Amino acid sequence: MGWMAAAILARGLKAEGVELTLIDIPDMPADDLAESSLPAIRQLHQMLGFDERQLMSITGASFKLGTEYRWGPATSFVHPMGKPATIVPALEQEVSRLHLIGDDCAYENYFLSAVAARQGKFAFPDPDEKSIRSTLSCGLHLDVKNYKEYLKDYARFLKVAVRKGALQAINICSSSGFIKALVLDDNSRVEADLYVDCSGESALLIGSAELAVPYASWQVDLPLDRMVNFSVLRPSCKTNTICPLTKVRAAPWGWQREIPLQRKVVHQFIYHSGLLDDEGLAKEVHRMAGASDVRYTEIKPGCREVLWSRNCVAVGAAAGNITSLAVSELHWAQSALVRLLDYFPNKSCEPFNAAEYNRLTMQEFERLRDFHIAHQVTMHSDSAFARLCSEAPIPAPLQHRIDLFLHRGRIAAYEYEVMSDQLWAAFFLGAGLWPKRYDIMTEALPERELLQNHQRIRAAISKAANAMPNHHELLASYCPTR
Amino acid sequence: MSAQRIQQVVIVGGGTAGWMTAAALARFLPPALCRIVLVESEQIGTVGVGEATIPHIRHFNQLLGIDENEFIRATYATYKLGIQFTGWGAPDSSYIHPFGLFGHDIRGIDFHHYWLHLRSLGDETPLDNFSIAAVAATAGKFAYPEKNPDSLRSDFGYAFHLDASLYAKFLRNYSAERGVRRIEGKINQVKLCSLTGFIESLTLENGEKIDGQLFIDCSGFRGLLIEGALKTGYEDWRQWLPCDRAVAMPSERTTDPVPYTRSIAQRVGWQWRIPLQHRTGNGQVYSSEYLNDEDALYLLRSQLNGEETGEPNFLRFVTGRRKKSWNKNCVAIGLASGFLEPLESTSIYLIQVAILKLLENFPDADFAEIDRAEFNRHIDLEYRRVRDFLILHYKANGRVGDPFWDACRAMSIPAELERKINLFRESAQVEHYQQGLFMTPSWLAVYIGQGIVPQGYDSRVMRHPKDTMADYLKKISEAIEADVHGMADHKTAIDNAIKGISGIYPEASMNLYGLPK
Ligand SMILES: Cc1cc2nc3c(=O)[nH]c(=O)nc-3n(C[C@H](O)[C@H](O)[C@H](O)COP(=O)(O)OP(=O)(O)OC[C@H]3O[C@@H](n4cnc5c(N)ncnc54)[C@H](O)[C@@H]3O)c2cc1C
Repeated sequence: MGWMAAAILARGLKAEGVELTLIDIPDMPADDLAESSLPAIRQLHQMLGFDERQLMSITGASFKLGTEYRWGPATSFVHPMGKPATIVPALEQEVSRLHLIGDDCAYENYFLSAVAARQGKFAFPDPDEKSIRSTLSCGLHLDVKNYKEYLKDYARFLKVAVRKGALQAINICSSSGFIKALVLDDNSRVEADLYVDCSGESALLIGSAELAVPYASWQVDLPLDRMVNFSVLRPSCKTNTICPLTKVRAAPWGWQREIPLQRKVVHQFIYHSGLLDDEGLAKEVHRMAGASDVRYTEIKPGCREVLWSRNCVAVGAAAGNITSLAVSELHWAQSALVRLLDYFPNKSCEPFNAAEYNRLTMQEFERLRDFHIAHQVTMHSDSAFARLCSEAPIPAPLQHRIDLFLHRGRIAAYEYEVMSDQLWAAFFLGAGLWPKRYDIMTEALPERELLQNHQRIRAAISKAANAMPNHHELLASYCPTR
Repeated sequence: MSAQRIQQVVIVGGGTAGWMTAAALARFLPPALCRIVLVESEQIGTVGVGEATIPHIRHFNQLLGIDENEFIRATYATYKLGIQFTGWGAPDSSYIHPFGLFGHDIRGIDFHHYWLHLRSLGDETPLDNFSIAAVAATAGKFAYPEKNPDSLRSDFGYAFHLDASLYAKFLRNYSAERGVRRIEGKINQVKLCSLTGFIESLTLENGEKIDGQLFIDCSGFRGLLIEGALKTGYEDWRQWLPCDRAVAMPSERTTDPVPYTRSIAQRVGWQWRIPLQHRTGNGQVYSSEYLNDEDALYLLRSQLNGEETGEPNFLRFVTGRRKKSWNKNCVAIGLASGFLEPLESTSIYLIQVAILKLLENFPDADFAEIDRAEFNRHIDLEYRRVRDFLILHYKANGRVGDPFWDACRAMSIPAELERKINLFRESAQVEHYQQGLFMTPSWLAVYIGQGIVPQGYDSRVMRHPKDTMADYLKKISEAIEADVHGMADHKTAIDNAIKGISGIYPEASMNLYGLPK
C-alpha cells in the first residue's frame, strides 16, 4: 500500500514541491497475489498518467465486468458493474411485477456487462451515450507483485526518496503531540510534516503507544480472521475463455474467491479459523491441482477510531479492514488517498480539516462494511459460518435497506454510499431477495404488453452481447502478458 | 399482489400544495386503480403568497408534461437566476446567491481556493464575477443554459417568479382534465377509526361525507388532519430562526423586471421583492418580539417603488416542522407539514420533494410502517438541511448595533452547522454531502457574501505566481462578461417566451445549478 500512496501523493503534489520519502520496512506481512478492482481504478490510472495497455501487459491483467456469486448447490448470479442496458426508469419495479406473475428471467439479463461476461465476452465502455456499450463499466484483475513493481518505478520516477529500515522509535513533540521524527534501526532519523501510515495491520504509527489510537473491532460483524492466497497456472492450451468476472463462492467456513489473470488464476480463501483448521485447509488447497505460491495472512476486521490523528494519516489496513471480499483494500485506500489530496493540510494539520476527512472516510468505510455484511446476510443461511454471522445484529441502515427492498423493491438512499442504487438493486435481486410488492405506478401497463416490452429489451441486450469480442482474444491482442 | 391497492386519495386543501399534489398524483397514478378527490374551501382561502421558486419547479413541470411557455403565460412568470442579498453582511454589502457555479475547479482543486489566494494578494474582484448566473442577473439579462459542458453557459439553472394563485389555478385545470374530482366545502369533522386511530372519513359543513384510504393534508398552517385530528406534534425552530410574522403587499411595476429575487435586510428581519410580469410582490418578514405589525407595515410601505395595488396581508407563523410529516394514513404536504421562511424560496421545492417521495413510497391499503419511515427519514433530512442553511444567513450577519441582529450573531446554532462554519473558517472547505438541496456553490455564496473570511485555503494553490493566476482569472471573468453581453434583456426573453419564439427550452433536473455533469 505504501507504494500506492507514494504514487498518488507524488502525482497529486507534483507541482507543489512537497518532498516524499517512503520507508521500506522489511518483513511486512505478505501481499495478496491478485487484485480485483472496481472501475475507479481506471480513472485513477488515468490521473496518474499510466498507459493501461502497458500496465496490463506487465501485470498479466484481465478485465472485470462484474462478480459471479455462487452459493448453495445451484444458485449463481452475476453482480455486474455499469448500469442496466435500458432506459426504463423503474426497471426493478417492472421486473418485480413480472417476477410475481411467474416470469423467471434473472435480473442480470438486463445488464450488458453481466450477459457478456458470462459468455466470456468483453468490450470497452463506449463514451457515446446512445450506444448500448455505454452501459458497460469495467475494473481490472491485476497481479499484485508486478503492480507493486510498476508503482515503485513510477514513484521513483517522481523522485520519491526511499529509506530502508525497521522502525525503532517515534519522537513526539511534547507540546503539540505531533510526530517529530521517526528513528530507524540504524539510528537515522526521518523528519517530516505529515506521516502516512501504510504499515497494514501492524499500524506502526497510528497504533503505536505514542499515538495510541484505539482499534474498534468488527470481528463480530464480519467473523473472518484469516486469508490464504495461492495461484494455479492455466494450462497453456486452455486459455480459450477467460470470463471477465471475479468469482466468489460461499463456503461453510467463509468465502472462496477466484481472480482470473491471463496466465493463472489466483484463489483466495477468506475464512474463520475456528471453522477451518490448517489440516482442513490443506485438503481444500490440495483439491486444486497445481496450487503454488500458498501464503497466509491474518485479518482483523475493524476500524481505527480516528484515521487522521495529529500529523499522521492511516491508510489501508492500518486504518481499518473489512476483508477484501467485495471491495478491496486497494480500493478503499485509493479512495482515502484521493480524499487526502482534497484535504491536504498545511504544517499545522488544521483540526477541522482533519475532522472532516475523518468523518467522510469513516462514513464511506461504514457503507462498504455494510455491503460486505450484506453478502453474509444474503448468501449464507444455513452453515456454521452463517451461525457465527447471525451473532451480530445487522447495522440499522443495512437492515432498513434490506427491509425496504423486500417490502417494495426500493433502495433506501444513504449519504456517502459508494455503490449506485441500481447496483444495490442488482445485488439484492441477484441474491434472490425479490420484493413482495411493487409500485402502483408500474400497473399502468397491461401485463402482456409489459412482458412483450421486456422480451424485446432482453433480446436486444443478448444480441449486443453476442456481437462483442471474446475477452481472451481481446487480451491477447491488446495487452498480452509480458 | 397480495395487498390491496389504495382506491381513493383525499387531498384536503386547494393551495399551491394541494393542487401540485393533485396534479402529480393524477399524472402518475393509474386512473383505473385510484381516484383522487380534492376538498377546498373558498371561505377559508389560501395563504396567497409565495411567488419565488428555485429551478426544481421546472423539473416538476416537465414531469407533468407542462409546456414551459404556456406556464409562463398562465402565471405571469418572469425568469429567476438567483437571489440578491443586500445588507446581510455589512449593511452596505450585497451579493448574489446564483443558481450556478463559481468558476471551474482547476486541476482538481475547487475554484474558490484560487480566488481566495488571489484575494489574499490584494485582488478585489468579487466572487460573483465568476458566476455566469450572477453576472447575467445583475446585468438584467437572460439566456437558456446550454447542454454542451464546454460552453460557458452550461453551469447554471433558472427558475421563475410566478403568481402562485394562478399556478394553482393552472394545475387545477390540469388536474380536472385528468379526472381529479374537486369538492368545494368546509370540513368540520374528521372521523378516526376507534381501533387504529386512522382517519376514516371527513364531513363537510353541508353534511356530505368523504371516505378515503389515504388522506393528504394540504390545509395550510392549521394542519387540519395531521395536527387537528392526529395530534402529531410540532418541532419549534424559532430559537434559530426568530422571525414569526410577515406582511405582504403587491405594488405596481415601475421598471423592467429583474431576473432575480431581492432580499433586503432591515433593522428587524428583511424584505422581499419579487418581480412578476404585471406587478411586484413585496413583503416584510419580522420578529414580533422586536417589531409590531404597524411598524412593520410602515417599514414596508416606506420602501415601495410603485403604487400599492392591494391590501396588506398579515401572516403569522411558527418556524419548525411537524414531528412526522406522514402519520398513520395521513401525509402532510406544504405549510401543514412545516414552515421555513421564504429567504431561499424553498417552500414550493419542499412541496415538490414531498410529492416525489410520496410517489416513490406510495402505500397500499395496509399502510406498512416502513413506507412511512422511509418517507419521514427523507423529509426530515431535507427540512433540517434547508433549516441550517437559512440559519447561516442570520448567524453570519454583519449588522452590528441592531439588537435583533446582535442577538442573531450571539445565538447558539445546531452542532452540524457549527461544524460546517468552523471548517470553512479554518480551511475554506465546504462540507460535502450528497443529499439535500444546497451544495458547495450555495454555501460559498453565503459564506463569502456575508464576510466569513477563511483563515486558510488549499495550500496547493499558493505556489502559483500572482500574475499568472490573476491573468487566468481575469480571462474567465472577461469571457463571462462578454458572453452575458450577448444575451437578451430579461424583458425581451420573457416577451419571446410569451410569444413562443424563444427556441427550445432546456431539459430540467433536480439540481440547483443546472444539469449535473
Ligand atoms: C410570508 C410568506 C412568504 C412566502 N414566500 C414564498 C416564496 O417566495 N416561495 C415559496 O416557494 N413559498 C413561499 N411561501 C410559502 C407558500 O406560500 C406556501 O408554501 C404555499 O402557498 C403552499 O401553501 P399551502 O397550499 O400549504 O397552504 P394554503 O395556501 O394555506 O392552502 C390551504 C388550503 O386548505 C384549505 N382548507 C383549510 N382548512 C380547510 C377546511 N376546514 N375545510 C376545507 N378546506 C380547508 C383552504 O381552503 C386552502 O385551499 C411563503 C409563505 C409565507 C407565509
